[in-house]
Amino acid sequence: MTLPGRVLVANRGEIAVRILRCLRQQGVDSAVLYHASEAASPLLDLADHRIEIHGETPTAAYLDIAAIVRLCQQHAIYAVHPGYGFLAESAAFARALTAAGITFIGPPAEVIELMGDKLGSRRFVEQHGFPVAPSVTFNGDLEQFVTEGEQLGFPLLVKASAGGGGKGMHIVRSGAELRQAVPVAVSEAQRYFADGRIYAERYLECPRHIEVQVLADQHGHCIHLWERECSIQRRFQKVIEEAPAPGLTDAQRAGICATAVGIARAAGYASAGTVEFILDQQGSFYFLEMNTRIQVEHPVTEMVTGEDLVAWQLHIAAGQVLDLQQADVRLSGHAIECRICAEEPAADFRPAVGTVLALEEPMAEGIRVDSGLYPGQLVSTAFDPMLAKVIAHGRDRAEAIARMHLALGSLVLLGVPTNVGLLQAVLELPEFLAGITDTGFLPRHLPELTREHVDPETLHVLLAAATLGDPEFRRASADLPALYRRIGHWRN
Amino acid sequence: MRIVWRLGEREYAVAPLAWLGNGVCLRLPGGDRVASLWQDPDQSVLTLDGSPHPLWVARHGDDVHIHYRGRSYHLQRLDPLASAAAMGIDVEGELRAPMPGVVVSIDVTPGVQVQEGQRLLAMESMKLLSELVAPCSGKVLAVTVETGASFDKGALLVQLEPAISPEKH
Repeated sequence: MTLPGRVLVANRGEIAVRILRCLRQQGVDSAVLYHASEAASPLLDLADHRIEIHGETPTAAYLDIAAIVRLCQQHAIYAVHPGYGFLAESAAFARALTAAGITFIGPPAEVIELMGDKLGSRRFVEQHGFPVAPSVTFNGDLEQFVTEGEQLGFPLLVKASAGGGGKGMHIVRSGAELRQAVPVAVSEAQRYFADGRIYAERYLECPRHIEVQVLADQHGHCIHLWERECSIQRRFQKVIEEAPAPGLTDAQRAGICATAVGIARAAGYASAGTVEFILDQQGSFYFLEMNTRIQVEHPVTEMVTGEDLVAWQLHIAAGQVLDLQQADVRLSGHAIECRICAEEPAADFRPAVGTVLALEEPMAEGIRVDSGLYPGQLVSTAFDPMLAKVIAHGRDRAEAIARMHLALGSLVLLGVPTNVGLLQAVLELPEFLAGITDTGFLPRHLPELTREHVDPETLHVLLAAATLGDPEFRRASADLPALYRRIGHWRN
Repeated sequence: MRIVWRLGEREYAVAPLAWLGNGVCLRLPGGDRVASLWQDPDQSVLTLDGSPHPLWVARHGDDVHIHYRGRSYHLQRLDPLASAAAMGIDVEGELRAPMPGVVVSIDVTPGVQVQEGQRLLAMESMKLLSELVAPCSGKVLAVTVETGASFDKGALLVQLEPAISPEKH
């Protein structure tokens, strides 16, 4: 049994499509929010009802808790799925919905609050006996902070306590750099998160980012759906994710997954969530943070386990028992996800804008595309640059990579600069094929990944196609002389 | 006639020479080729010296986007006159936005002297915080944006009067 009333998807783009499809499959009455700038999106047709939201900017509209709760009441909404981003990890939103008698599809507000505060969650995890990276907290005394930082040892990573999404993080390699970074980090933390608290933790050089998918119901049953490897990152944001993590020993895998379940249980978690860890070169792992929502990269876990995480979220939110035992979660093959982003990798991943002029998404065995793209769509900086995700599943890692490579090649997305060329280049690197990945991978290989090479024959094809379709050429071409004799290497 | 295309960092000239029975003879960098283009709203086929090349072509003003053999390319048609400006004869001292974004803070006011490399303002595009620095020393003539204002790519942000450096006369 699933939710007994209308479910609102308080999100947009690919994740809204993903959730709306699930609601449709389950026969649940659905609604979706939209801003006027996206009123033409065909994704709105996937919902039974569409609700317009307003704001100074499109993003502000999706963050307006009071307005969204009011709309929920007006439109008889029973439950809200927040997706990821926007209000997905807002305890205030969860509380406001609960107060209005509406179900928030996610964990309890107290757990969101606990895990949303990086300092608080680290302390909580440490107190329960799980490993965290050594750190020092800034209490306003710069000299003391620098001294403690020096004692901890460089390099350090300065982070915002309320942070997330790679915002406001600084790597410092000396006391002088730390001294310089503090005011910048505090002001960024204040601006992004309205909370100026910062801390510095030991920065592991070239660690791997490993995270564990957990599922817990409201009755104390908690399991994991194994791990994901998300080390291919730019600016602390993931670009390629896979499951299972290549090269982990069975003992490491079991240890990290058991730790994640332990943390989720201790926190009283309910719903789908993710516990993130860093794994150092010696094989030790440390708690990084817990994300109390569905994640962008959840499809790789779905592909290798065959479980529908969004369906489980609905099931759990309805108060049902999670009738899935740990021993029943089986891994099958390997899955990889590539995030398609509107950006220019060669220009420091600068966000790009444009209009989707041509679009054809790949369709093949083992390929899943989660996308909110449509032809004619205006891609602006109003929203996150991630446009779509391509997920490939294979019997093993090599087959998943090969399928992904073919899929990216058959993805036609013209009119907006994207990172697809970079993703294709990553999939061709011997180091990636060997499964040797760490968070320094992308920066280290960037020059070779963004090198433009066009062979002479391709250049001729491109120039000829561009020229023959050119309106001015078409107008002027009537004046060209006609030649009937054979020239060059052209033959009958 | 002659059409100049920019692809990546480089520019290429193409000159149509004549009609042939089955296409147009084009003078391309490195040789003359006979080409014809069969266009469809979706996929197109370019025939080059008799060999077919399936591809996707999308046009938007002077921008041509092509998907060919699994890769996407962006070509830009250059106006022969404007391309002189693109080659470096820019209006000196006009600092324009490299990308759309929002002004986070402004460090200078009109009239102040700035040194090469000095920060003029900070801006943000989604999650990317970046700085606009003075490309040369000089005097700030105008700041054409305000803190909190959003701007498009190419918008004029700051106008500088470059100092005359002694070695440049």
